[in-house]
Amino acid sequence: MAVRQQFSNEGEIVARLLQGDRDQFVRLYDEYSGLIYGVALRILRNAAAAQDIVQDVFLQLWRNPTSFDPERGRLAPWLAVVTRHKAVDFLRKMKFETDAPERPAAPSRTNNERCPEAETARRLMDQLPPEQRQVLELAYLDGLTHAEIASRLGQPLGTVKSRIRLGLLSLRKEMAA
Amino acid sequence: MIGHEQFRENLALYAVGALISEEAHDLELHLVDCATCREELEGLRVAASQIVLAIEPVAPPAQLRQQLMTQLENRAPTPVAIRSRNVWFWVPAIAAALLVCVAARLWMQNRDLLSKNGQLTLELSENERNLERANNLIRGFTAADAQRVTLAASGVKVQPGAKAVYSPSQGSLLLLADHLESLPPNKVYELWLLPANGSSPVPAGTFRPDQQGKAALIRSQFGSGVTARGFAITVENVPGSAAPTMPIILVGTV
Repeated sequence: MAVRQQFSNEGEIVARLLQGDRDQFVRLYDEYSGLIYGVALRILRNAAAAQDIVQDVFLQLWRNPTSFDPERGRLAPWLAVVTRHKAVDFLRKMKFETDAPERPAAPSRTNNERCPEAETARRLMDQLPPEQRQVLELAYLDGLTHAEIASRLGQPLGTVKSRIRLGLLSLRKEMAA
Repeated sequence: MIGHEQFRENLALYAVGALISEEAHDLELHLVDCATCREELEGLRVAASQIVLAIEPVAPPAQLRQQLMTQLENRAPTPVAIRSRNVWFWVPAIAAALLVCVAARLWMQNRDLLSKNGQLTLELSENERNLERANNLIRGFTAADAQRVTLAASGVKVQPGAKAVYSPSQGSLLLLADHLESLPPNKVYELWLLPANGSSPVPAGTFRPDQQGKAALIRSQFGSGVTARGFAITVENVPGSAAPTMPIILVGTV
């Protein structure tokens, strides 16, 4: 049974982890490891480093379950953002050399196929103009500053800034709709 | 000199990490004093989470699961067992474990702050709020007005049971239940605060027992100073109800 179906209150997940409930932890891993690995792999483009990030995120959740506050948001976005922070930090610290993507040819969608938050996010991102989506991903997923993005794309700095603003404001507006 | 509107213009870039470090540092100083920008930033961060949440999931290698479980063996937290008779022994332990985890995290991150840029200043603030929440939990569970309620089955057989600790002043609530019957997927147990002034029961959270019939519910910011005359538990349809549905499974008064 999916964690989401089993727990209507994600605060209960925190309570169970605080009790050292390993079965709960395993269910969380089965539910969200695909999401976390996908995010880490997209940012780092290196399987070994991405697997380290997956372990790091889950160990943080196991050792300090209260780092997730169910009163401030849902678990899936929180895990995705925590993974992003760790991966981008790693990227910046190590000046990671991005080798060829090592993704499987056909990414598995079994883990997160039913994650409604992820499905909504994909729909919202697909609705963005490609140039806005591109600069948002270069900033948020590749850890580039506006100046670095402008240099990479050969676009004026003001254009890049404007696209980032418009893209993010559009996402916020669509989420509220 | 940069004004409020310019800082506001930079919020979106900050939310996705696109500002250079000097710009980010200046904005963080502004955020300390500007509640409007802090609120807007929170919304933009939620929007930014969509970027990462939209990434297609990828199944990790099968051996990673086993490696992680092995790590758990080496880094297991102190289990907080729920027992039917001596659960109170663990109440301060839960709060203390929370405090230790948060404090340890704070210490490590504070050390990193010495060498990191100003963006971590905001993370420090968040950790301090977590620490305050942990302290609130401890104060709540040990407060003089902490109400300890033992709930018992209303039927003849005294099998299921639960204990609740609630502090109106601290807004903290802890429920530990045992021997609860399993429920179908479309049902949950719901805890109700019965106000001392006789007003309608207040929903206090839903939960489901594990395979052993045990359940725990922890709320750190619950209620608004409402004094309880007791608590009750009912079975409700997922995701929970605004008013209790009879029959009452467990009930107890102060």
